[in-house]
Amino acid sequence: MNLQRLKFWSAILLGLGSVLASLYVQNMYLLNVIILAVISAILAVSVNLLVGYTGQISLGHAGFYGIGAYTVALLTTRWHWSIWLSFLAAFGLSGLMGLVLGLPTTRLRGHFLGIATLGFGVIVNVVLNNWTSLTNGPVGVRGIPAPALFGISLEYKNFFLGFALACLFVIVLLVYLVVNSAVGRAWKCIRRDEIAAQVSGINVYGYKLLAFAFSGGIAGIAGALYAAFMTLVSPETFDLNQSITIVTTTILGGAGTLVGPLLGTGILTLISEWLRNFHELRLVLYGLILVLFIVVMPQGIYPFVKKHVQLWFTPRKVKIQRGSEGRHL
Amino acid sequence: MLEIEDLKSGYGEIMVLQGLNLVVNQGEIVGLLGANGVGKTTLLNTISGLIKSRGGTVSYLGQNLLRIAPTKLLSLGIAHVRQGRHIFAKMTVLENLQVALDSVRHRVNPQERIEYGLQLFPKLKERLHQQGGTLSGGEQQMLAIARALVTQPKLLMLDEPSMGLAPIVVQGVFTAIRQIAQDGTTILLVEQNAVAASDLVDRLYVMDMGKIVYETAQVNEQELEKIKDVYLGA
Repeated sequence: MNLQRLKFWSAILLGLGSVLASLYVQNMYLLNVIILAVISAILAVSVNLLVGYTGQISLGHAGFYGIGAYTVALLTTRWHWSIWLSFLAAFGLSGLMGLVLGLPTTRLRGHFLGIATLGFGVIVNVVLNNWTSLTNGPVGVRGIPAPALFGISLEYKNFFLGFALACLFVIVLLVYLVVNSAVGRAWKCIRRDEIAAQVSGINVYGYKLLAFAFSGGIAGIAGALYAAFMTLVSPETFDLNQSITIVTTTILGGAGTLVGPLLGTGILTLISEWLRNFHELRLVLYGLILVLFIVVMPQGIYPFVKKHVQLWFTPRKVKIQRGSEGRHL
Repeated sequence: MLEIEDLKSGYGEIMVLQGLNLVVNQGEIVGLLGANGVGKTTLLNTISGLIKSRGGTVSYLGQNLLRIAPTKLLSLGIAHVRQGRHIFAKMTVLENLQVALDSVRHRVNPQERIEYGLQLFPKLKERLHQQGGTLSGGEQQMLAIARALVTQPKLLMLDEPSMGLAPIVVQGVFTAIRQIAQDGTTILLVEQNAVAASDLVDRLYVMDMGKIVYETAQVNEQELEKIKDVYLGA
């Protein structure tokens, strides 16, 4: 238990430290890459709530991401809301959409749920592209104002990075608290065995809806950050490809763990930046690396590493305790 | 306490329960015997609402159970220990118990109930922080029963608690069941192990082809022999 507490506080310290350190990063290229990675990490954490903790698949997360981004874009440019209010609205609206998507789809399972959520993502993309009077269609929305915090404009990318990282850590902390509460326990049970969960008095339908809403809301925040960072949004960012990348990242890192999605995002970002050196071969190699990861560590990078590190620290000779139901002869 | 009248239920085109009548009175241990495939598990699953009924009534303390979602059963005081245990293998023993407690926190004292469950099955206490899946079969069965008990049920439905367990372990589990009954819980026990069950129960029902075919309050050896010969084919 004490170890748990030590881990918790060192994670908090690490979070605070990296937020502070990020303020000193000056390299523009690095800033761009890291900020986008942080946004991806928030998306991965969000989809992990469904894929990892509740055992539901979502192939339409770009939909929530897009709704969040467009909420901020439109509210600030068209109706001149304050950026913070529009962030709240992005969280609320995407969360609401999660709930609405969940109402019919939580009755589905496996592939069927996958297809239904995939449809949702595609529909959102089509609407963004074609509802020209509201969204400007393929051209997108420009001129989103940069937010300011305590009088510091986040136009400066290092400040924005600090802010994005702070968002990420608050979200991870929230997720940590929720998954270690009764709600998280119920989610875990649903993931393992829905009927056993029912018999244990868990309202399976209600808890799945909650997971969808919460996950949608978090993806909305990622969208809001994206809009505020890029100052322009257009539909092609929020396509099927994006949805699949989010799920891939989560599964690669280790679904159902707190650290997995973060690790997955970090490693995938590093790899894809490094692969820029290979020009045309880039996507080929990227695909190859993904396949390798999945073959070697199907349970995800974080669980794989954790298991092997633990093995190093386990003494070779393990005393086997006699099962208490056995009898000595 | 539990009155079942003319209950019908089944899967797809197959009717399993074909008009079943059964009564469980407060404070009793009622046994339900029957060979494989006569519908014992289907009966419990229908009572719980895991399978939709197709006719008849199930009333519990005057309330129509068939309208109630399986999720709500625990808060009404009915606990169902399913066949094959179905504990949460990747969660610790303690977490397994807490999950069940979450839905009844408003009416029970969680700490007290967990202690009650552990005092009944001391082996679980040793394994409190071990994952459920690492327990032995007998311990898993104990955990499944303890998980139901922590919710302080008025009626406990047990579906073949002896399944796949060594005789000496069965004895332990059945001793615990007797203790549970003495502490005031009414029990409906579904079993194939007629001998072990008969030591325990106040009344016996025998089921065949989706109906109750025999009923007795005299649970003695002659009766048991008769039941085994005629209905269980042993």
